[in-house]
Amino acid sequence: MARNLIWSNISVYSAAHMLVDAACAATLFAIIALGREDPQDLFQLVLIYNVIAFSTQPVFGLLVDRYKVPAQTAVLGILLVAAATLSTPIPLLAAVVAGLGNALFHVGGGVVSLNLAPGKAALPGIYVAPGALGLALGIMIGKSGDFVAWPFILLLLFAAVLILVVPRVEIAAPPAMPGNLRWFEAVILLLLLSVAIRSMVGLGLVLPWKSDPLLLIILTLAVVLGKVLGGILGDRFGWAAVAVSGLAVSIPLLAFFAPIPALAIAGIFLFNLSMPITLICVTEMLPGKAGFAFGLTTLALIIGAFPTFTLLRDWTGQPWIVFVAICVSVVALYAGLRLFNAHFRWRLPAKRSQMQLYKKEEER
Amino acid sequence: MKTGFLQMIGVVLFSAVRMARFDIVLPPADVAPPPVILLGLGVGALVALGAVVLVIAVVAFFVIRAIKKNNAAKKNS
Repeated sequence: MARNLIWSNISVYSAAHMLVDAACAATLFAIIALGREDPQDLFQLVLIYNVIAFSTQPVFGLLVDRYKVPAQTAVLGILLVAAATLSTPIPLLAAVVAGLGNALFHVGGGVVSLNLAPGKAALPGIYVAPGALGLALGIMIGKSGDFVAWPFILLLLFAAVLILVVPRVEIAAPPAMPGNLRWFEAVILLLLLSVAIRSMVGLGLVLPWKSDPLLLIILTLAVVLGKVLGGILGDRFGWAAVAVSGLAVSIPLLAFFAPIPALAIAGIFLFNLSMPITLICVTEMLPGKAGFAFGLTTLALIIGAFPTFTLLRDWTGQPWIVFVAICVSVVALYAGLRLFNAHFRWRLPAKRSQMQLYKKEEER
Repeated sequence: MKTGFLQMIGVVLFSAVRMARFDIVLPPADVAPPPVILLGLGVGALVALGAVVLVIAVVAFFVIRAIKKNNAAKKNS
């Protein structure tokens, strides 16, 4: 695929992703800051929003895969998010519309990013990463009480126009699935288990220094950088090597050194390296179903997040629980990637040494 | 009997008019419901949202199985 097409698409969708997440978070937090809802009800609004935004993505993903309309779906999502920014006087409506818009945008953009360079983790990582930054910015704007809808609406409309103008990506016809199908569900479920645990740990982790704005910004940048570099490094040095080692090294940092900002931030960076790799791996398991695959990972995220919405929240932040949970995630990820590499990897691995080996074989 | 959307709107409007005409008194808005009810509503909302996620997860699992069967059929043909 032409370099121009790839970079124009990925820049537009990544920027739009940040904007969409910022608009959704700002809208929800503004409802409370503007006094339209009791602060105690913020929890329920955020819960409703999250469930709609994350759990509906497999359904929308299947529809996008069926009708091959990712750009249009992303634009529809953006328009709904813009509508949600105007709905703050009716909090429940704002949460529902923002959730639906967010889900549609994520799936549309996800399908585009996964089809720009099929089989590579770098681009989906670049697409997903700015979401964390948008979320942090949105929460800041929403909480400040200075939320105004129209700048968001203008920027969102601009993003929608850019998505419509940017050259479209062709969605390749799905190839036949190779390998031993006996392990098919096992690989997908192991990868999704790893995602779900990552979600639970990420939300349950107690970082007492997070109230410091500077440290919060650095933490957010670590999340963004982890997701971006996870894909790039994974494509270069091998998915299993980067994802599993990153997650494994993050165990002591997050479980036992969370109160020390420098170590915890390093841990969060390493912890996020596996995100684009699990996404691309699930997508590779479901050729021609990139939307559904993207949705499955977000469904795993919300399932993993559920304990943190309940009284188990205090429990999920305990060091030994974090330790055991990330260990289980590492094992699931390692087993999933091993089975994937052994039975289902139908594209050439990107690892340099392996590439050279393949070249030599071809020359012979 | 099936109730259409317009019928439902009609019922809501009719009830509103009746309340206005007969001065039906609603409970005062500044009195909080008992804590048990609030707790029940909170837990109920959580359970309902959890059920939505569960249903989608089960359906997604069956879709994965269907994709597998489809792939197996393609391989055999």
